[in-house]
Amino acid sequence: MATEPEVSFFFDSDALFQILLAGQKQLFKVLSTDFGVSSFIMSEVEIEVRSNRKLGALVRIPFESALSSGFLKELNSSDLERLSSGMPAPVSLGDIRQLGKDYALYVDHGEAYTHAAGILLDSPTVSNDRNAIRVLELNGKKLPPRVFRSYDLFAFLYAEGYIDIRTAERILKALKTQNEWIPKCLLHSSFEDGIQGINCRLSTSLAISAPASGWNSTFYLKRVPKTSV
Amino acid sequence: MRKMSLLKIIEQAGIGTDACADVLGVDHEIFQQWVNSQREMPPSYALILAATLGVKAEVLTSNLIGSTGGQPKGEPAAIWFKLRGSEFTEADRESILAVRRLGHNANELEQATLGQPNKSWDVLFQTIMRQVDIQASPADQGRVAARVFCEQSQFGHGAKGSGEILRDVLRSKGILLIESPLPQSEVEGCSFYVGESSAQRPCIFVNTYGTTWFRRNVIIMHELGHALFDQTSGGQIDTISSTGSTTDQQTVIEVRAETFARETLLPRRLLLSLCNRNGYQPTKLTREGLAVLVAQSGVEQKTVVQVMRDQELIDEALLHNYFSYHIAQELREISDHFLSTEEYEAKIGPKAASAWKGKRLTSSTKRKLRLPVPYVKAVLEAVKAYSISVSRAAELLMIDENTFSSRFSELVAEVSE
Repeated sequence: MATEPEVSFFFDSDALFQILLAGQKQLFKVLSTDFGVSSFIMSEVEIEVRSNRKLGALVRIPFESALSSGFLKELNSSDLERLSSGMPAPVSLGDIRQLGKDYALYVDHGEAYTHAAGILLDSPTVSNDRNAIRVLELNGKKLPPRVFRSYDLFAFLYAEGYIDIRTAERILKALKTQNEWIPKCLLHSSFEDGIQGINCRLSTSLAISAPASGWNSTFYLKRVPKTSV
Repeated sequence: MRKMSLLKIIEQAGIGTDACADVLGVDHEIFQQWVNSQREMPPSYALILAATLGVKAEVLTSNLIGSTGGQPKGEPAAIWFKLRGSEFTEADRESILAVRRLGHNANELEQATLGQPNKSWDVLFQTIMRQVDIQASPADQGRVAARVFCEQSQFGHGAKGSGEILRDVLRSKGILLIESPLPQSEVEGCSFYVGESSAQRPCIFVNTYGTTWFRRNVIIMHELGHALFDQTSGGQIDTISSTGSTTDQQTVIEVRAETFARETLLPRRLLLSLCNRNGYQPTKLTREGLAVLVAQSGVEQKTVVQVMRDQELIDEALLHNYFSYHIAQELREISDHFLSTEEYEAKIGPKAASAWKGKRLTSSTKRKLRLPVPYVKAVLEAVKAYSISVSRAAELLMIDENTFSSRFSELVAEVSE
């Protein structure tokens, strides 16, 4: 039986900030251990997160903890070799940088290199910047197969029972307090009442699948079978 | 080897590592790690820093930094060597660093919106230089260049001063023009080339601190003269001190640049036309008359009087007499350009005054730079047209995204729908 290809998500800084501000660095472990998803960031995102004057200091500890746990990784050449091993042509960091350089004319650095990695590796990216996606689309630029928002991941954690409703409401409150971006449907409602309105782009099924539709449609993850001891 | 080289490049430029970090919008600690070779600078940042310092990007990423034998040399652009003089301060160098970053940003904005940087200046410069006899006297070279420049642009047409149009003309040719205050600096103006080697463009910087619009017009054209004639010298810096302005020095390059400035802004025919239109005889000018000539030509008093003398319309005694005229009050009554900021804001009203107030200053650079209105407008228009994202616009304006959102909240709301 053929093994399924490794699934990886590439995180942009805006979504990463929200995950860390919400105290949800466990997400990377959940994705990895329960769904076999590797979480990556580009070096540009790592620099953006550390250099952010408003939020950099606030997320420093959980960010470093996520990186040192290994469940969130800065993409390197050996990761790339592994991730692109099943692809018709191997992808190098140089390829990503070349595409990222072009995208960086239109959107910010972190966004540009994150989406470039997602496109070349056919992997979903995680970014809250809808405006940037629209800019890339209108400039005729290709987008990754899926783009998730941080709220897709929060909704996923909630739906799959990793966080209870009290935690979910706390996340929403924390992000509102920080004046972070909130989806319209959650602006004036509780997490419980409003979360359906985001049309979560991440779900589970019996197999990993990403039907060939738009970047904003649902991506299905498969649970990794638990090995009995 | 590598560690010393990045540090050496920065040291040669006379800039601190924190200023470099700020101009890239990068945490100081991270930049220090790059300098110390504790981690590698990503090529995306190396590209910006290279364009800002004026070195090849490979120099900042290759392990062969500093080596010889055909490898790119890690020496910064010539302008940094000129800025080492004792008359220049750390603030001067850091401001020039921010200006050079702006040059890189302007190139990238044009690549995103127009597909390529505007290189009209290159055609113009070549057209001019084809007609200049490089063996002629510096003044003759300046005069010929000025004549061709005026023919190719709209300068002096309709017997009108060009002060009002010169900024738009230069910018339409792809020349980057920045007027920003540099307090406690001797720099009056400077010109150099910015951008990657394949997309270089002339950049003119004028210090607005303690000067008038009329003087700045002369400085702008003087620096344009340097950009035109002195391309290979890597840039020129003009300073002003108690001993006078370097623009008045009798060296080849200064005479050529100054003649170019005077002949583009106030050629003989324009001066005579202004006198005739107002019924003035050059030898019998009153304070009011001189103020009118300054206001209508857009050229400072000193230069107007000097041009009259150069053209032999007045003698040496009148030259000194006209220099002694105090025309500030008369000018204030006939030209908005002579009003102080407070006076001008009072005249146009609070609504118009607040349109750009506080919206043009960079915040990520160590030295705040006041960006040109047309550049800020071009960035905002690109956001509105979805040519660039909001976060990219913040990068181009050298501010953080929160500052962008608070300065331009209506636009952000519009494009975030």
